[in-house]
Amino acid sequence: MNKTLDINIANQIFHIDEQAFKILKKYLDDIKTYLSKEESRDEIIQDIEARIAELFIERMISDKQVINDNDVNEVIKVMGQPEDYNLSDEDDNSNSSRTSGNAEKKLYRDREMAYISGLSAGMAHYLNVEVIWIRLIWILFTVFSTGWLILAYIILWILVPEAKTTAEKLAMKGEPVNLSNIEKKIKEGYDNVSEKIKGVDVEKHSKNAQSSISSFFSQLEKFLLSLGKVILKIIGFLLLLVSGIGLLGLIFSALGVGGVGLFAAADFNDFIRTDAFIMSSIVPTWLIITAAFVSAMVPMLFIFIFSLKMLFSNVKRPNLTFSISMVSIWVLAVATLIFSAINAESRNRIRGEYVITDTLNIQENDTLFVKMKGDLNYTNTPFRHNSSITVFDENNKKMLYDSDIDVKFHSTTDDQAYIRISKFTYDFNENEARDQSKKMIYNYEIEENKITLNAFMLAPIDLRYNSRGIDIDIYLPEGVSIAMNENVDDFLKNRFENYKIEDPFDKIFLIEDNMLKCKNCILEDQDSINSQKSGKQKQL
Amino acid sequence: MNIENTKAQMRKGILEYCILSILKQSDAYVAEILEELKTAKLIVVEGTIYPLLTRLKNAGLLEYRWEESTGGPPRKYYKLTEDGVKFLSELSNSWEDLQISVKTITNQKTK
Repeated sequence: MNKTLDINIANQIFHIDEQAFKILKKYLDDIKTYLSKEESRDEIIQDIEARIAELFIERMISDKQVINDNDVNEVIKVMGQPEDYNLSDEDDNSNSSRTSGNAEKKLYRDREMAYISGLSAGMAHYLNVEVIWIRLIWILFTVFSTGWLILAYIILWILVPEAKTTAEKLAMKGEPVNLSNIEKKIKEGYDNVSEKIKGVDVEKHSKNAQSSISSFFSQLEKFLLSLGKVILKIIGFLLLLVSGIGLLGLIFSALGVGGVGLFAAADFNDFIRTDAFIMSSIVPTWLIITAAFVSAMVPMLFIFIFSLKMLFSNVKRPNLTFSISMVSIWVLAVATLIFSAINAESRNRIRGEYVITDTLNIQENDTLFVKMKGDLNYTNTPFRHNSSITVFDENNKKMLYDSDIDVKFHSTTDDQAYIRISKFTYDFNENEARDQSKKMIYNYEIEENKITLNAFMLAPIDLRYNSRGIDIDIYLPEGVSIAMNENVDDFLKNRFENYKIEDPFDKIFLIEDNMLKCKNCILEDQDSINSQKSGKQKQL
Repeated sequence: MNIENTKAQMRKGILEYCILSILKQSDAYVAEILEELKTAKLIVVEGTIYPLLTRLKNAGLLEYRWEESTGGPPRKYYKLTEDGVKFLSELSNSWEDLQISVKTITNQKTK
């Protein structure tokens, strides 16, 4: 099924299908362009149209009602290609063409010089450089970009039209579309296109040089101008590259982050923790992140479009509505960010804690054994301090796993040893913070003189924007020794000397001036002796 | 040197002469002129003739009148003007001369 159009040629009405119409229209336009130097062009065109109408009528015998592309092609065969209409005196026309000046260059793909699609050749014509440079740049950047530039190539391949008609081929090279140029093209039969470009240039330049010495300077000026253009194009290309990568990066990070709910920041936790204002502002976090995204995206988008325009003059400028709405969205986003920052400044989160204390059955001169217990179900680095990830607990519920556990030893004048475990979060209101803290799950075991502390806690997912942690304080009567396994190492907060715990329980500590001091440690200097041993230890 | 090109140039030179000759016998519209030229294998495609006719008309060698046709657009019937007749006879003379000159040379050279 084809759509048909009604057309009027020489006062005759014809039904013609759409495809055929396009071919016919292009044919007539080409002839018009071709005969543009002819004085009575319109009259000639009228005669031609009348003849075409006659030929169509001849083909419309029997029941045929619609002219199809086959008919049009047959008629064109009879009438001849635009170049066949040429009978003019060459000299006249080449003279007049000289005065008509340079036409605007347009980007097309040049099939005749193509390796793949002719895109590089077309760009070379457009930028007025040798095609080899363009190809080199493509190859280099493809290597640097580990291949994604191939995507850009394919997109351009689709977007940039191929130069098909003679007029397009001339526009591709920036030569004015006029009779003599078209003629020149056709005569050369496209065999040695590159040769020809050089030839024309040399001819033109040598003529100019002969005319007078002053033309040397005009040549120089032309050269500098074209050099400036090339530099502009290169800058445009770099801008395009940078903004393109930036845009892609932004989009991918938005998609990646958005994978867990809209910008659900569990994966994002480390970033949020460091950014105090995101945590403490009244503005919802997702809005802040969206605002940040938009405020980076919009300028990038404009740079992208601008650089496209710099490179290819036939790229349209974005329409006003688009620009205005983009700018206003951007202003809104930036305003949101500024407001959030100011707001966060004035609203501090307050710490609220939930405390558990327990007594320890430890007497003077006893030794307390302390070890940390990790859970390999959640992470493969259970004894790293201060890591934060999302995990699924045994009920398959999404939880926050957090190893922000700080252990401190203190001496006390009491006879009773005890342990104080404080779960804390920060929130805008202390009661809220305390309630939230209660929800955090932290386990430990006390058995005679042995304490086993979990190296992590689990918190409900809605605490993801709250700073949180566990402080463990162990108060011991003076003279109590402490032995720890190596896993405690990372979590100790009041260690004094520079030592490493290697064998489990091989080092004994005492508390002096609220600092842990090692009774039987080998100090750092001698560490190298033990390094082999420690290497072994880790493998175990 | 492109042989097709040269051939085309040669044909173009005598095309005007031939068109005027056709019109000397009787008035004709484009399709009829084309018919004769095609039979004589002087032109391959029809497009060539339109700029030529218009130029001859503008030079005052031809004039035309409109005639209705059955089931088609009205036709332009071309006719030689007095100037055209003079022009044609001059062309005829020089064509004869040319033919003789060409024959003399080619006969000498190619034999």
